[in-house]
Formats: sequence, C-alpha cells, structure tokens
Amino acid sequence: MITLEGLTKRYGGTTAVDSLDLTISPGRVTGFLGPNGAGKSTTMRMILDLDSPSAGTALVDGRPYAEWPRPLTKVGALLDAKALHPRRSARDHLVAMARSNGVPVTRVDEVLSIVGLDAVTRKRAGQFSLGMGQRLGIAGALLADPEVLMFDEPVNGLDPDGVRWVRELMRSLAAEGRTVFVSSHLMSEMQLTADQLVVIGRGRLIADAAVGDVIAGSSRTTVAVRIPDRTQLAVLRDRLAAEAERVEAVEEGLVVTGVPAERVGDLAYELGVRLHELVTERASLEEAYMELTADSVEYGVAVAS
Amino acid sequence: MSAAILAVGTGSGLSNAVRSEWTKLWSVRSSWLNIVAAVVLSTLLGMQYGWGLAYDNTHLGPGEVAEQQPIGHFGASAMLIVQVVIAAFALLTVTSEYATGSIRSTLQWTPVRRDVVLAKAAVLAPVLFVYGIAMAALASVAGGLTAGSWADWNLTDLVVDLLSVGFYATAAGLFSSGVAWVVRSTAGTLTVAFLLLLVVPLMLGQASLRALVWTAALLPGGAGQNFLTGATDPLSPTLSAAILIAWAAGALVLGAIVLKRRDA
Repeated sequence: MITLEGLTKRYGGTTAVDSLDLTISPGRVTGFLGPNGAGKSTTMRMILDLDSPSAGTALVDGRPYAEWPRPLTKVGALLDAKALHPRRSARDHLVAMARSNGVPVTRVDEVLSIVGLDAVTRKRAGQFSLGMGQRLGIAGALLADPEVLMFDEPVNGLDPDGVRWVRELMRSLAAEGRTVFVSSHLMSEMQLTADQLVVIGRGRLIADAAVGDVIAGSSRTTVAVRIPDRTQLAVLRDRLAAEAERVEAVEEGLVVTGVPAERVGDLAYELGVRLHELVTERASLEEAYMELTADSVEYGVAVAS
Repeated sequence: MSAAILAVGTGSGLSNAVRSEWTKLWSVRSSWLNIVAAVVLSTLLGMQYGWGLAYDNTHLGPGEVAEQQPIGHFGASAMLIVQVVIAAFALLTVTSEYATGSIRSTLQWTPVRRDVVLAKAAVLAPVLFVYGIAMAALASVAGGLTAGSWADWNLTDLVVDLLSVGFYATAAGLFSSGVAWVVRSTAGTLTVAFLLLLVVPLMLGQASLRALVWTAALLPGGAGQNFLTGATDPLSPTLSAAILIAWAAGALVLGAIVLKRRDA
C-alpha cells in the first residue's frame, strides 16, 4: 500500500505536485493519468525517495521507502528504462541489482526468462531496442518479488504482443494481492488494465475513482431514445429537461445527458410514451479523461476553428 | 516464490551495497581499459627514468658523482603522472553513473545515500591500494632493468616504497571519488583532481616564497610528493600522510552531504 499525505514538490516558483492526498491499495491495478507535466513522474520519484518532497510524506506500508531494509523487496519500480550503464550487459546489470538487496543471483535468470530476454542476457543494455529496454526494466521491477510495483509508461515502445503481455502481467500481479501503480498515456490500454484511476493535473488531484465510475460520470455518456410519436417526444423532452444536464432533440428521438437509462425508461412508462429504442452510449475512458483534464493541460495545443 | 526469496536473501544494507558496487566496477570495460592504460604508462615511465639515470651517470658533469638508485624511486616518480590515470579510475565509478543516468538505479537500489558513498569507497580503497602497488612495481622493475648496474634492487627498500605508493594511490583515488560526488561531471572532476593533485602543488612547490611552499605542502598533491620522497621540510612524512587522509575523508564526507541533499 502506498500512502501520500499532503505530498508537495516545488521547484523555485513552480509547484509540480500540490498537496496530494492519496491511498493506493493492494489487490488492484491503479492507473495514474494526467497530461504531460502534471507531476506523475515527480510523484513516483518521491515515493522512491529519489526526490525529496518540499512538504508532506510518501509512505510505503507506513514507512518511507528509504527506511525499509532491502527496499527492492518492498517496491519494484520501472521509472526510466534508460537509467542504466549502456555498456554493462543486461545480466550484469541485474546481478548488481540483486546483490544490492541480498537477492540470490539465481533469481536473475528467472526474471530474464519471465520477460523473454533469455537469449540476449550477455548483450550490452545500450544496444537494446526501446521495447527490450522496457522488458529489462520490468525484469528489474520483478527481481526481488516486491509487494508494491510501480511502472511509469511501461508499454512505451512495446509491440502489440508486448502490450498485451504487460497488461496480463499487471492483472496477475494485482490478482496475487500486490499493489500495482501504473502511469500511462494510452487510455484505451488503461481502460483494459486498471481497476482504479487516479487523475492529476497541474500537480493536483482531479479524480480518484473506479474506472467504471469515471466513465459513467462523463458528460459523453448519454442515453439515446427513439420515439415514433412527435407529441409524445415533446412530452418526454419537457419532463427530462427538469432533471437532465442536457436534452437534445435529434431525428425521431432524444439524446439525454446526466440521467441513467433506467430513469429515462421509468419516466417514459409513467408518461405513457412509446419507445422504439433505449440505449446507453458510454463514453470511452479517453473521452472521460479529456473532459476531466481539459482545464489542466500544461502544454496544450490551440485547435484552429 | 515470495517466501523462498525473502528467506534466502541476507545481509545488511551496506554490505549488500558493497557487493553490488564490486560487481558494477568490474562489469564495465572502461575499468579494464583504464588498467591497460596505466600498465603501459607505468612501464614506459619506468623505462624512461631508468635510461635517464643510466645516461646521467655516464655523462657526468665536472664535480658530479655517479649514484645508484633504489628501484622503488622509479615507481614513486612514475606515480606523479600515473596518479591521474588512477584518479580517473576512481572518479569514473561516480561520474559515469551521472553521465549514463544509472545513478537513479543505484539510489533506487540503495536509498540510504550515505551507504552508496561508503560502499563505493569501501570497494575502491583496497582496489586502489593494490592498483598503486602494482603500477609502482611495474615502473620500478622496468626502471631497474633499463638502469642496469645503476639500479639498487634492495628488497626492503622496495617494499617500503611500494607500500607508500599504494597508500598514496588510495588517498588520491578516494579524494577524487569524493570530489566526483560533488562535481558529477567527468571533465569537471578530472580538472579539479588534476589541479589539486598535480598542477598547483607542482607550481607552488617550486616557489621560493615560504608561504607558497607551505600551501603546496597542505594540498593533496604536494603532501603526496612530500610523503613519497620522504621530505621532512616543511612537514614530516607522517604529517603529510595525515594531510592526505584528511583530504580523502573530507572529500568523501562533503560528497555524502551533497548527495544526501540533492534530488537524484
């Protein structure tokens, strides 16, 4: 479990992370989303005590990361696949890592085979492709069999098979009861992988909710009804206008925002309105995310109209 | 899986960090290339000093007397130059981590920063000691062979000279690694080490002003030269050795303080 309390990081005048309060629980995959510069990597670096917070605390199972003896058995992390000596072989890199935390060296060959790098263990890490580098980083995260796993953009540079493998790996790690905290820009991927979502923008917490709730809360999730009778259509429209965020009349029907399909159906029944279709059109996570972060995009691009 | 690994794993943070640093030191080619460079340089310098002595002793000016030289002196003289290569060996263990970004991995593996500085120093110290002795021995033998009959192969003197060089190489190398934690870049650290170990003491030591001679004697390079040549003016060899230890320890403490304060 990771607990952040009032976690803050200031660089000179700018605040990269702004009093973040957050609990990341075991047994599920928590997706960490936010625009570029939102403070995701800085937050992860503070959890690992690589950066020290300006205020607040980041605790792993109740203690700062640096205070755990053999910390790699507590948290395995892939923050930057390039944080290694490019002229050291993949295997030597992991051997040095294993020795640093008293992990038996036999475990190195185990994780290399888990990530599918058995054939290139003697190759220098600097000659690895982006995808192989990510796999090596994931091998490092798994090395000491940690309770908590953190990944910063793990599927970067992976082929579709690799992306799928990472997804299944995260799901199985969470199923084993571990805490899995993953940042990503790929919303479609997060929608498939994560149970819980944490969204930040400009260093502040925007949302901390189950994936389903984030999508349901989006204005892009709508209920469409088709009504053959124009008079009945008007009756239902006027009734819905009282409780919906938005009711839009389209050809032969209505598109309703902010009222669930069950409620629309019940109202139609009450009012005796005959329906030919009643369907919920769910927003994608990407749409929900765009809506949440619209105000906090640091490096936004103005769309020409 | 998890129980097995947690049960087998052992060791304190520092001893594990030392094992990791040892692995890291010998698993990059630059360490080996550095040793090859030092071997070549030590041999060539020893030969040059040996030939130089033989030449001087056979081309004496009026009033000069030919003298034998203990071969250990070739080793000590070669160290004046070879120390730069050995300092590079030591400082690269730190600066290469900053150049490649691997420092972030190191600090993730060993988040107690003092342990990282201590572990690197604990690995470097014995390696530098042996490295210094081996290079001095090479230069001594090369010089002894080329000096021919002018070489004095007294074993006891040689052992004392080699141990002194080993001590100096250890102190100079640890000092350089301490500076590396503060400066971080290879070029910057090498410049500082080069200036304080070689250039400045050499310049000041030749001055006739007493204050400048004292300044040189208090700098690590000057203290090293005085220690290796057994000079007693302005300080005894023991005090020169103490000054070397103070520079090495001071640089490492400063390095640890800076590393602790700085974000990785």
